[in-house]
Amino acid sequence: MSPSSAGAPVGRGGADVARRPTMVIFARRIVSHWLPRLYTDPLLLNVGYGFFSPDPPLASAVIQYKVYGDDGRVLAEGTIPDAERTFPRLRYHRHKMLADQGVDTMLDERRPEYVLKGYARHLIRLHNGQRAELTEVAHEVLPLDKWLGDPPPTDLPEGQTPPPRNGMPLNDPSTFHTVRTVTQTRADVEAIEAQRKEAASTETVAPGGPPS
Amino acid sequence: MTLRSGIATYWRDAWGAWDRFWFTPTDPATLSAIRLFAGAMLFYTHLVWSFDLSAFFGPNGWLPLELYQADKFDSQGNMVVYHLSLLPWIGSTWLLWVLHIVALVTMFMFMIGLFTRTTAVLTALFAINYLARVMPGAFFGLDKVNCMLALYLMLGPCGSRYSVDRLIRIRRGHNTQMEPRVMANVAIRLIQLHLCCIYLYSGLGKLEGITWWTGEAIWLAIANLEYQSLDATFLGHYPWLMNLLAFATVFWELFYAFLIWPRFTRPWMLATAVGVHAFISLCMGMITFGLAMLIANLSFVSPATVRRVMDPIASRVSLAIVGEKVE
Repeated sequence: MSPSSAGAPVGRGGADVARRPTMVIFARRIVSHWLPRLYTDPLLLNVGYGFFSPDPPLASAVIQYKVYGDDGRVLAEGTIPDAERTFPRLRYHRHKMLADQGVDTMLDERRPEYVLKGYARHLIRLHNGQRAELTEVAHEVLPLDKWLGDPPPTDLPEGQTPPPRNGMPLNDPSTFHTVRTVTQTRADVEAIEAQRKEAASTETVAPGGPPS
Repeated sequence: MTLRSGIATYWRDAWGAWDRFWFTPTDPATLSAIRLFAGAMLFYTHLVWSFDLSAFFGPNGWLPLELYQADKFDSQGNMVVYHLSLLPWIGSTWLLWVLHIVALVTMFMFMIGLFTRTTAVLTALFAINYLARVMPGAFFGLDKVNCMLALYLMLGPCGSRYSVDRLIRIRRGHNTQMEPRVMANVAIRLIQLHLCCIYLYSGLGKLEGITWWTGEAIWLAIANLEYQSLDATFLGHYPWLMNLLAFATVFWELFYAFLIWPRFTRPWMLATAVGVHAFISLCMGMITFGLAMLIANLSFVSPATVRRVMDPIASRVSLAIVGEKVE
């Protein structure tokens, strides 16, 4: 990965095709100042319009979960998102965005684990379980050449049919990689609720930032 | 002509052009049609939240209060993102549902154009409140466009046509002639300019990447199984076509802001918008987002064209409801 002129990485390897000019950094400083943000933040006018920029995702996040009861049996299991069980499509996309949060390290490197723990606690409450285990899986987009397979030999004798190309399917097991696993228990749920009660009793806003 | 008078003429003309651009009164037909479709999209978007209302907006859901606070406040408890939302402070489920039903009723009234001036403002406030609660977390492009449209629609007379308000005026025997309105033009101009910014930033952002230059971007989009709704991977057998689509997308996004204004290039830009958003809707399953973008693109369709399509339908509806055809 090559650094841009601003020191930020650009793209995923290869030539530094787009250097971020100084003016953009200047403009970014202006729009991130608190004064214009008093207008743009509440009206959601600075939400950004990337739409698959700078590149479409190279992988999608899928969260596999299991919720266990007192006796250790599985109360619920599934994946987020689940195209077959989530209707309508807009609702599926909401769940897809939840799964993508698990890989978003832009705000904080600790954020994905923090987010996933929150999901685990929600699942414990939802299914009245004792323990929830979440596994975040990255499903890489299969490169085109692997989907196509090896090209047919060019030195075939005349009249001989070339063998079918041995391309891989898009959901080939080799495209799935486990990123992290988090576990939360009923005790974690109760601890969070106790923290919240304490914050409410002191009438203070709970400090932000993911906990260590 | 002296240099001085030449400069004065230039500035007078420039000021006149600025004045005409923003403040030429226009028929509110286009704005009203956008209200009808954007209102339907806002209503549907929020209706779908009903499936998981507590899960997304409750304090113990997917996006718990701790996460909301972590995103909006620093470690000292100071607000760092000035999002305003009532929803994080609603603890009880029944109160959340009451608010949600009020929001849905308001958005439905906005869609059909009932008490539009009031419901337009309330719809925008509700849309912002919902989005600020789930951001970041479960929001995407659809919500951005929904909020943008709701914000600008409330500035103009978006209930002047194709609305219950208009039927009420007819029933009461009021003058049904629609005069061109300055604020209809202001609202439409704001939507147009915002849309130009959306496409321009999206195009500039793609220049920072790699795969839009190499042409791989289209493959990454259609071969992503978590997005895919219609299998378009057959395009993989035609790399030249995928390259062409990638370059055409970036070109179109970059130049939309310039080529949408001349009347000769405008139809081509709008036709491409239909093609791009239809592709995203059908192949990547983002039907609502694609439609929302097309509703925003409607701002570039003239009121006369909108009336040619919408008025016959509106006339039939008014005939059925108030027994009178209205042009």
